Amino acid sequence: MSGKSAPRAHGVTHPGNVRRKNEDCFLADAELGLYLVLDGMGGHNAGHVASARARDVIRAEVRANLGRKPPAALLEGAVRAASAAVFAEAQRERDLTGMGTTVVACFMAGERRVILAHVGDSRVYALQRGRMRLLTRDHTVVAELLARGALNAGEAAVHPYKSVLSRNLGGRSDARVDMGDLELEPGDRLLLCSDGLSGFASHEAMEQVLGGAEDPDRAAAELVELALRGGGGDNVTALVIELGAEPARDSTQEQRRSAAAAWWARRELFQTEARRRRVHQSPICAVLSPEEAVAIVAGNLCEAVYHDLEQAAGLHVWTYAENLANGWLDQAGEYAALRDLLDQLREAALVVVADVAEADPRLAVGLETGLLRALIVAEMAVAGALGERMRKLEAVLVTQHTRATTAPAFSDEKTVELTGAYKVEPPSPMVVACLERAWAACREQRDARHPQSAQVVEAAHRAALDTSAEVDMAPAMRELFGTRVLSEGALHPLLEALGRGRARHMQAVRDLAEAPSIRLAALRRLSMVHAGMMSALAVLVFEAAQEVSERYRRATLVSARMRGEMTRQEVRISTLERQLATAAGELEAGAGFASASGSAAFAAASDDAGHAAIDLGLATVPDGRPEPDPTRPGEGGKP
Amino acid sequence: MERHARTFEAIRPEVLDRLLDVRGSIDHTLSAVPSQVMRQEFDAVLDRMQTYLLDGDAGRYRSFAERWVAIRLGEGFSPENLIHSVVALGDVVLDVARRRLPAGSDSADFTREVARMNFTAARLIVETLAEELASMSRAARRRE
Repeated sequence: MSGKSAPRAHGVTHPGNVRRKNEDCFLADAELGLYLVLDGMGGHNAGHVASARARDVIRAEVRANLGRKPPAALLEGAVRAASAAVFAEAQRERDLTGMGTTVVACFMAGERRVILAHVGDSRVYALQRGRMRLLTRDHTVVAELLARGALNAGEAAVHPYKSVLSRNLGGRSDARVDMGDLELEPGDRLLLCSDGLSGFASHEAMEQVLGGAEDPDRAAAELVELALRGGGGDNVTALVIELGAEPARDSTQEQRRSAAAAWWARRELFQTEARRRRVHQSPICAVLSPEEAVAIVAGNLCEAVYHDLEQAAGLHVWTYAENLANGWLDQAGEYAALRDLLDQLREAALVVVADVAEADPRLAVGLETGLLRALIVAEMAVAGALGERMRKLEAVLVTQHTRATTAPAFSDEKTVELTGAYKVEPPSPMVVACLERAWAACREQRDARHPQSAQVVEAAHRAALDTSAEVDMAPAMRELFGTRVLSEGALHPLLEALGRGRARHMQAVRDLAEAPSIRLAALRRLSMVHAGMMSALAVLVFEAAQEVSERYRRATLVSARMRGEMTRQEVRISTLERQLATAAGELEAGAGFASASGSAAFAAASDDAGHAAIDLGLATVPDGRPEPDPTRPGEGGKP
Repeated sequence: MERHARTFEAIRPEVLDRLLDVRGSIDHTLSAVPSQVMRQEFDAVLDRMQTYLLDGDAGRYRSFAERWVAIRLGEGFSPENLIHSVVALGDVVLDVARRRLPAGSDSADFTREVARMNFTAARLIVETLAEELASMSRAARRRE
């Protein structure tokens, strides 16, 4: 590659959210023009050993034979050599028996020509003129059966072995390698990835990130982030290669940057408008001073929007909205407050758009479109936060239902009697009138920043007027306590509201022009009621803590059992994977599986640009793109 | 508004084809639904989008989106998938518009209008989820 302008490339690998080990690896060797992604498999550390060993062998082989063989033969030979090396090592070491790896390899055979090699279910995508196409066909048992017509798309989508490989590197000494080549234009991008990305992110989302990210570094990082947000159920690796050192920016990029600059230049206006719309009076900002509220809530959003506009991404606004929603919902806050705050901020942002429109109407349209995109991302993050709580609550409802329909499992469990009930004399009519006037005064002075204090006063007022012989504070406190979790962040606002509400309520009685004896009687009654609420709260906290500690004890037992079971299942899965891969390999070798040896499964470009058509084994849809694989979330199927 | 509806009509066949192509990425369960069935479903959605672009009646669009949400929740979509699927529908329209419409103020206005429609739909989903969560909370409290 010396003497040529090397493509820019960047790779990111991550163990994912579920697996502890990362058996993926990649290589980006600009000097050789060689780029690889490998996804290892096998028990213990064998998967990692297989992928790393194959990577090293391929690199060494390409380096040793560079210039001595034609590029395609060079790459195919290197991949075959790697398979033989991994197979030999697996035969030698008992612990490594059955190890294998997938590989997608890309070798720059000229300024624009790319040679591709592929074994397994790792993938190569090409992004050309804003459109992303899959260039490889997965070597899985289900994909092969689907291609032979033995399964239909519906059966394939739910097939239990849809991830089982029909080919891998190291399963046998002479791997069958699919080869292909492609002509790229400056600015085109290639994505090499493991199934931890393609299996956990949609084709559409991947296309947006790959096409929208500023450079390969950001594209790779954001693609991995995308897979993690989609569940991250497997190791995930993304390697992005971009041809041409400095692709010319198109007008869309220029406009995006101008919109970002115009937005940032008006950050003061946005914050002023946010303050005018009283974002600091939102209950979400209750613990902040007005200056802090505007600086944190509006300022942070302003910065997040700027970065996302500039990078055509959504990660900053997503993070902002997710933190805001989680922080508020964790305190048992109402969704309405969150929605109102976001609406106030949206209105403030639209004032900025109007200001831009006075100078440049077209730029304002672009800015508003970008802003709307950011706000949609914020809505999606809020939906995620709500969804998480719905799942937790669903589990609680199931537990409650189970408890209600089955006998208690622990009959010796201590129970707590709720002692929020007090025997008192009913208030006299004059005291009632005094309490009513105090309540009216409290309502007049209601502070929108402290809605819970108002609820406390209202609950206390109702209880104080209760003429029954026994006043029970438990229902009112249960209402206020809601579905709070036991944490300082959740309890502190309630305690503060109780204190603030009590002080306001008492002061309202003191301020009345009533006879001192009436006021004293009213104050006594209120004092008793507020103290009763505190006691009821203490009981609720104790009750919740007891349930949590019991749940913790049970969860510890269950998790210990699950850990043991997971270890057993992991061993079993790796044994089955090995057996299936070997059986599939034997079946393929013996029966001429799917296509003749050496046929290429790359669905390369046969589009209007006249790129070399190298599709020898894969059906294409009319516009030249590969037939989507319906067994993958990222693909549409045509049953 | 009428010109946006006309623009939408012009790109609609391609939007429909694209939706069918990428329906697996909107939600993987959709890839198992026969093309003909999905074509009819998507066509109905595009009808509503076109009507919204024509009359700007958020209330009518909302009632349609509510039915869409109800059907998908019934099919077991997770809250995240639900909002993703709705936003993806609008994104496909934007994607086709970006590639097919000539650059200019009409195209930019159309893109903004579709983005507004998409935001309305996203907000609707979030509000529906919030109502559902509140109702679950009340049920849990009652059972206590």
